[in-house]
Amino acid sequence: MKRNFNVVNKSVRKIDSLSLATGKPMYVGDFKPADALIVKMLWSPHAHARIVSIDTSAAEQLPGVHAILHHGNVPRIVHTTAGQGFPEPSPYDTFMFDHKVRHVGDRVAAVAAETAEQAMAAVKAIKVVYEELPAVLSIEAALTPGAPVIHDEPEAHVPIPVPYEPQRNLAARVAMEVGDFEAGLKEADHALDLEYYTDYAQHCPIEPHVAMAHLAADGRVVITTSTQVPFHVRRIVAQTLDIPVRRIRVIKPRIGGGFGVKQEVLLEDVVALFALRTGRCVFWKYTREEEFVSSRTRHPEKMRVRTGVKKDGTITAMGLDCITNTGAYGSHALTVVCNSGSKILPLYRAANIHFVGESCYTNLPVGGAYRGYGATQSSFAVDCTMDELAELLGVDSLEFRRRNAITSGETSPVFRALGEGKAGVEQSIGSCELDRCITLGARAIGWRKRGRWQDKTGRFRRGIGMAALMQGSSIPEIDMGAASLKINDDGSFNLLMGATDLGTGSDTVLAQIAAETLGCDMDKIIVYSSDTDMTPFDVGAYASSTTYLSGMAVKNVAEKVAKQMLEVASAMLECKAREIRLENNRAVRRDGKSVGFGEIALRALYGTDQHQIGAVSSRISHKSPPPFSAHFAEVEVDTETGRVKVLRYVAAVDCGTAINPKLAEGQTEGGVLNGISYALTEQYLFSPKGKMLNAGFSHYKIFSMRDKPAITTILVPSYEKTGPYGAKSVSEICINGPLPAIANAIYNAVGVRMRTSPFTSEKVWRALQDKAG
Amino acid sequence: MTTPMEQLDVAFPASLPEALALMANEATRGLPLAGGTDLMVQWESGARPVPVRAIDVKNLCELHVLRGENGMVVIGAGITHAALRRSELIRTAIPALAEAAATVGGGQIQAMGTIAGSIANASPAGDLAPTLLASEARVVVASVRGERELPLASFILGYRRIDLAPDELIVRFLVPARREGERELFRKLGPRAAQAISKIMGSYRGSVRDGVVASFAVALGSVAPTAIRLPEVERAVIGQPLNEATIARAEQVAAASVKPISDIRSTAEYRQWVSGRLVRGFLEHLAGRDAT
Amino acid sequence: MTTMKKIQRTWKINGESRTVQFPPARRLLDVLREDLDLKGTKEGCGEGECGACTVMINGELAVSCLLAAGQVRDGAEILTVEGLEKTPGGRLIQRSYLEKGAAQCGFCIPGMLVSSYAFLRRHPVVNEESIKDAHAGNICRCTGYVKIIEAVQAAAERWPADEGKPS
Repeated sequence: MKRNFNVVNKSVRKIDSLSLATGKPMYVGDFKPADALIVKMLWSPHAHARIVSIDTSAAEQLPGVHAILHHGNVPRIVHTTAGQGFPEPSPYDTFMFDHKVRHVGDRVAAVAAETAEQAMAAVKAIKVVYEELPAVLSIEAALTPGAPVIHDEPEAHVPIPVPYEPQRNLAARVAMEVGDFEAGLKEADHALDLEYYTDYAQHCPIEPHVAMAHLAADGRVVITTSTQVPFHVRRIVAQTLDIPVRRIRVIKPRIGGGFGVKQEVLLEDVVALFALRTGRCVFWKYTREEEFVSSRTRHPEKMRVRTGVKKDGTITAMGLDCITNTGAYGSHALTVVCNSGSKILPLYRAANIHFVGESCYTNLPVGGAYRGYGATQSSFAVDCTMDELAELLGVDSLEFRRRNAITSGETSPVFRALGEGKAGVEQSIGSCELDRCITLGARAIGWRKRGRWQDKTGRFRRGIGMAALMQGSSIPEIDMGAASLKINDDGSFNLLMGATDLGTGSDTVLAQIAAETLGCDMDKIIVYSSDTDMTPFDVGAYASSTTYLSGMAVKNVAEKVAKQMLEVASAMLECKAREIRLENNRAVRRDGKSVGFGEIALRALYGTDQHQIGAVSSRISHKSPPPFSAHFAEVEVDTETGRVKVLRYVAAVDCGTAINPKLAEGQTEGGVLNGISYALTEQYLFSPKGKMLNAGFSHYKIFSMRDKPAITTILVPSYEKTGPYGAKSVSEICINGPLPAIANAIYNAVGVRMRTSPFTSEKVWRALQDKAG
Repeated sequence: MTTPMEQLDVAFPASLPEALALMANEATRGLPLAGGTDLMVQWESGARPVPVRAIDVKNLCELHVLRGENGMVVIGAGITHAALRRSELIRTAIPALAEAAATVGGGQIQAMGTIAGSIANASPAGDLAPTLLASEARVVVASVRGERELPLASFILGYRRIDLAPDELIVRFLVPARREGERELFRKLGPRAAQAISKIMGSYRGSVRDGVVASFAVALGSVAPTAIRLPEVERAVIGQPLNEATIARAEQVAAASVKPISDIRSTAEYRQWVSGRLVRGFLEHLAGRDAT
Repeated sequence: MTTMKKIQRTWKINGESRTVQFPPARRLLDVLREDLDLKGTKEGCGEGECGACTVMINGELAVSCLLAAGQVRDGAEILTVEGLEKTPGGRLIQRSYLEKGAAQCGFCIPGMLVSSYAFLRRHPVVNEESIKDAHAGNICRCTGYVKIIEAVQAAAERWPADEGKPS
């Protein structure tokens, strides 16, 4: 097992950073031709209504208008916008345009015109008669017997055999039981039954959704889009427009942030159909308001945690009942709620486990994939419960977590029981340095000096809280990553990948893996991602899979290419291939005689036995090795106003080998601050009719530099044998810590338990008032 | 990409008299456009209809005065938040105004938004109004008919309404400088530090002589349809010894005298509570105990 | 719908004299991106909150999405991200961002860099607080700002003495 690395585990410079820092055109919007038609959408003003009639005749006559799409003139094909593997675990409950609208901000009709202004004018000129229907605006309302049915269309179904009952607004259901949960509760010396709620949030990539389509000379549709899932875009657009996959090419240039929201096919069908109908290049970019209302969100989730513990600290029962609000469509409804169970329940040993996850439709904005993917919500519920259990037992909550947490060599029945839309995959934990994460993080934050809230006085009170976390690395036996690699005349290599770097630096990380395997410098690897005509299939960037899964594909393809190079080199060096090592861009014989990669390439391309040195490789995983992390927050609570200020934050993370430590730190820092922002301020505010009232950055605040606390990241190395050079994932786990760590810190400061996010000043103030009586 | 503003005509007068001449005529007048930090957002979002014409007042050098004279600070209408917070004069004579300006948005908005724009927008959550009210600032408006000077308190008429005739422009503010022995403070409680369109904020100016409150003016924002002075609170403390009893009473009066509405940012009950605590903090600051 | 009459402006953009015609209230952002083909400046929100469209005009920062281009008078000096590499200080900041790994998706970076440049060229007192204050109008969702702050600190240490002027 190679552990002394040349390129891997080094903080090499992100390969695209120079062009990013000089403002070179790289994003979809930078490539918009001056004569592109601009799309504007007429969005539903109603939360729930039938479209009685739609009259576009006046709008069509307006100057500059080229085409208008609505339910009367597009194919009616039921599908899901969730960019997932096929067949998707999300319900097919969406039409390109429907004669029913299901939330404020649902599609009604789209206009393509010469200018944005003309398109807007046409949107305003479309006459729609709606028949308003009673709206369902909460989880409770959705599940009340007799509630209005949001998906009453006969076509709605899930393409895989899973529970789905749209007639009672149930978009997904999953359940599992290990042992005898009720008996486990009875066995306990202490039991807790607690409810938690996490609110809506939006990913807020600084580049909103944007897509463009034009027709190539051969009549194919070329879609250039900011997406995490180019191959799923191709498949789903083909399905939606009822055209063959071969007629579509999807190009992903740079992505200006994704965080899950661009794992969704939201704009591509519209620009593609407009391009087909008009023959013109068609461009559509969401406004910030549209990004909030008409893209995707973090599923709000209600969670009930029931646990029992013995006096000696043994957890006898762990029960989690979750209901998410998936909004008007069931995008990722099943899998997000599955992950609420599967990414947190294995963390603590319990003999008896109960889990029910449900997802319900409402007439509110639509949930989707969001970094953390259900684990963000349930980590809050479960970890805060751990804090309370420890308090009941009168033990240090850190020691309590340590005592009960899973470790190397152990398994959990949850892995087998809970997959994504099907049974899971059994696995035992390979690498796990959670214990060390806890030790190092506790030392960095000063855990032992945190004191008890009962002893704290004064207006401003400080407290320290922690959370223990796990996630996964890819979806086992469902997802696939692939790469192709070929050598060029000068000994450089083209690495073509379907994996999509959404700003995370995965192009760099994967190039490092290739360079390490080939024994060459980083600058010899020319990375290209992604283009469905050029790069091999990859499911895309989601589920914490790129470094681990696409990384394995890259390592494997580089090994194949190295083998071919060795064969050529052995002829050149007149020795056996196994006597040659590839290092420093050269093939070196045992006695030191060597040939350069360029020479090898020239011989292969132009010399004897001419051939292209190159290979394609794909990989799936049979495991989803969890990264582990311990997070610590120190807060200061203003007892007068309820304002919570995070003073310091420490995240210790075991992501296996950090292929690029600086980028791994950057992932952690970014996820942590996003998580803190979510914990303290981010939420959707709705009118009584279901319209979002704060759809913009002036009323939906995300943290700026001025709000940033000191963040310390500690990378705790481990070696995951199944991963490329020992790597596991790092990108998602970091966003799960702030909710529980801050809630626990608030308790440690002032003695109130915050179980509903976000912890706004007013909410904390109310909790303090209630506590004071 | 074109936006609705592309249909907006803008006149670019070279001088104030030229601008006033444009404003005098119904056929040439337009909405004064300075930093654009409020208007452009409102136009783009559709929150406010795009007018036929705007008059660029950003570049009128007559509106960029900033000087002290006879215990008064003259602040031109076009002075930006950035200029306010950087000005040594402002930092000495009206430190609360420099503080208030520094809490507005980020550096870009501070460098663009002007004092007159902030007042003319007449949002209850405007950052500069409380301090200007507490320091009893006056406004000078001009038209071809001449100049008119009035107290800011009477210039602000109501929610997003100001006492400005269609042919008038705001030209400057006259703000009494802090006198010997006077203290003042601006405080804001937003959902977060940066860029908050403030939830609740306030400003005071006051003085103490021999342990007795000699003067006290306090104004709050985001607790009523406009930024408001709190005369009941002022009456309750002026002439009283600056002790805990007075402070506690002022806190009560403040909470009782504001009539906030509940909106998407917070409930009326919380705003009343925080109003009281702000007033308490101001009096404690006046007593020399630093509020944070 | 009538077509608005165009006005003409001549500016010094990134050191180069450029003349351009546009409807008077066209956003400076659109003039830069569409009319002058300077694609480095980005639009993230269109409401002045995210700072991705930040440029420097006559030494002062501006969000170009909230600025009617006509308000920028003839002769104004405009700096966009594309102009940074023409100055020693600009190159220094760019290099510093690269070295510290300050960019992830990079969409906020052009505006962030211009804010860093406008900050450092005033030769300010550089500490974490002043850096945070100077970049509070630039939102980044990827990085948590940690490495951006490090990059600004590193650039400040080597800032050319003769570039910019004291604040």
